[in-house]
Amino acid sequence: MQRSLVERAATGDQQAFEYLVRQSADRLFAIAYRILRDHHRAEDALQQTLVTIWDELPRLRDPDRFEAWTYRLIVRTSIAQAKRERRGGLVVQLLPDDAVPGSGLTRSPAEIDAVADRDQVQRGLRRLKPDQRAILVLQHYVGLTLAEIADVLGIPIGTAGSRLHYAAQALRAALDADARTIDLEERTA
Amino acid sequence: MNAQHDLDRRLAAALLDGPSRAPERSIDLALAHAREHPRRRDPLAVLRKDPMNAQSSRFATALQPLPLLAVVAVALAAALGAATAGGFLDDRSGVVPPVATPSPTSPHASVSPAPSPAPSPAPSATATPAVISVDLIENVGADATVDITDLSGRLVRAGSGIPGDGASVPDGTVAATGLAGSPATVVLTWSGSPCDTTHQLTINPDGLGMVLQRPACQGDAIGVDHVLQLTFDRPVDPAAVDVTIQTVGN
Repeated sequence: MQRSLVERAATGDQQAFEYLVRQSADRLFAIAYRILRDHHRAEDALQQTLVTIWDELPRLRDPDRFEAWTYRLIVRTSIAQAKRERRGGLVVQLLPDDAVPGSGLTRSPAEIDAVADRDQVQRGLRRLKPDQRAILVLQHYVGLTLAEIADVLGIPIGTAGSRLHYAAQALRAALDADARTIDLEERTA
Repeated sequence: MNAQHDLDRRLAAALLDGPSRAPERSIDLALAHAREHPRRRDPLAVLRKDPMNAQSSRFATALQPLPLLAVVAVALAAALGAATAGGFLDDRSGVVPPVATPSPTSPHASVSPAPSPAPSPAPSATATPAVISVDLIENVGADATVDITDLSGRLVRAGSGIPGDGASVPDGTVAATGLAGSPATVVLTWSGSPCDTTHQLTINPDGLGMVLQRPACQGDAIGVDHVLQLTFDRPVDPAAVDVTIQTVGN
């Protein structure tokens, strides 16, 4: 099904392209958001990627590699976007309130712990380099295997394995540093 | 191992947070772009580089239709040039001046060292150094080429190396390294931008000093690697190679 859509879109069928876009956009946006941690930049990255898909699709020889190719495009666009952002200065973001909006309900201790834990991991992710976040997103959010990650990033499997290892190590270090900071703040309070 | 699993679990949970629906605006703008840029028939589409094969091997790259066509074109041009110069009809073993090998799109151009001149007078005293054009392999961005002018006469082969992701050397510097198993080969790596295209490399008569000119690129400033492999007719110490990089057109 997707193969024929890709073939039709490659020859200029706009309806087929629209089907493909609607099939892929949510997943691509979710990946971009998790790499960039910013809604507007993720939106820009998605738009740029979709435009590139239309422009470059005739060059894709194997339609079965369409999905991997779109992952490659969104990852590269997001990393480039993140690097531009770093050069432009740090963007400070207000994090959303943890309260359940409008419900007036308070969370149970277990829920509060879970939210606190997710927040801590989110802070750790923000400390990573964009390409490190990208490889973790591909494995832990998209669920790709090491071979698929290597294919998407266009690198040997061994390189993908070592990048994954270093990204996890960097995240662990960031989490440890975060925990130490909190501990220090508690002790000085 | 448990700590790794614990981190994996926490990471997977944290990554579930966040939006999972794409904004309609991005989709609408992309569809509008498609409508405004309807696909025209591209008879050369089959010759263009497959975006999922950027890391293909040199052998596979050489088998791509475009390099093959370039090789055929170079062979035809060389045959035509030889015929024009009377090489096919003339039995005399005359002087062969350094031969320019125009190969504008071949990723692996090569030039044979000029044979030593025979005692007979040279038919042309205005021999120009060989110029080799190498199509660099790039993961992203525009096609980049390097036109190499070899004033040393020692260069026997030049080709693109395979770049990694991103830029591995500081901007404005060129790293010269050796190639395992090939003491006569020097690998030059420098960083550029996806929008820079035509480079000029001049190899000084000593074969060690080189000047690399690259275009000023005002576009997107994502760093990318350019990798060039130069093989000489004798072993070269990469540490002795001194490459000056110049940006032209500022």
